[in-house]
Amino acid sequence: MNDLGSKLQAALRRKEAPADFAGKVMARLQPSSAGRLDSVFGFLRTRPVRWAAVGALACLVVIAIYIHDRREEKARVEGELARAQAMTALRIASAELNSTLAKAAKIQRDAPSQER
Amino acid sequence: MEQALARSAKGEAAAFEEIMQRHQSMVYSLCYHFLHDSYSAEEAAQDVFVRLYKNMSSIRSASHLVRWLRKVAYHRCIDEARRMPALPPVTLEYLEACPTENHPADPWLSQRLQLLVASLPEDSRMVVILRFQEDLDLPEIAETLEIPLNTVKSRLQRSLDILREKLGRYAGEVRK
Repeated sequence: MNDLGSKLQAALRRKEAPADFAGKVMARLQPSSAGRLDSVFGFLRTRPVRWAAVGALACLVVIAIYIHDRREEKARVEGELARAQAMTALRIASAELNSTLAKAAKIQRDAPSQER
Repeated sequence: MEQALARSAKGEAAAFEEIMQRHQSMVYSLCYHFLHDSYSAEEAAQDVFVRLYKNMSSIRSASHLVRWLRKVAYHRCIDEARRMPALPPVTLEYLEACPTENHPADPWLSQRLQLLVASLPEDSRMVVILRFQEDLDLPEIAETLEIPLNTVKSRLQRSLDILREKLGRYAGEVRK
């Protein structure tokens, strides 16, 4: 082998693997109970499931906004209805009052002529 | 080894660990010389053995195991190298700044050569490593990497030309 070849052989000599290399690999191969849970629920971390969760969350947000808007609309309508009822009651009361006042005024007008 | 393979294929952890102890140095060294980063090399080497554990039943013999490990290490290193930032250009200043190991044969050259090898194009790098780390001949390299023999020859020749040129330039600069 030429000079460069022998230099490359020396430079690329095998190195020892880091300490406890085999132990670390075995630890990865024998999951703990947390790891077992992880493997059971691991599918939840897959991309399609993540995107589905984002989509479901977005739908929930839209639905919540819609329900909130509907409730506000209902409250507004009920408020309008109550206001209209109050106005009607006021008008009726006002009409009654006017009628009573008119009767009272007539009685008062008629009263002096009766006393003569 | 054949017995350890058979026992490991049945799921015996001790047998798998025995196989790993025997080959971890080779796999780690392939990854280290390819990636030139001990942390990435350890991660990649661990992944190779994790994958081996899941594929033990497909290993037919001790020689098949060694070829399998080398091939998977190569592919894993390619994936890892694409995730890592590229090595800076190997200039004279960079070579001077590299720490040296006290190597009995070449006090300073080995580290520089390792760096130069790690800076070779990815498709040629493992050819050089298999040739000079594992002492494989060219047909064995072709079989391991599943590439044509002529491709192995051309990549090896080109790599050696590059290494010679860079080492020659460095030696010339040092003499100045």
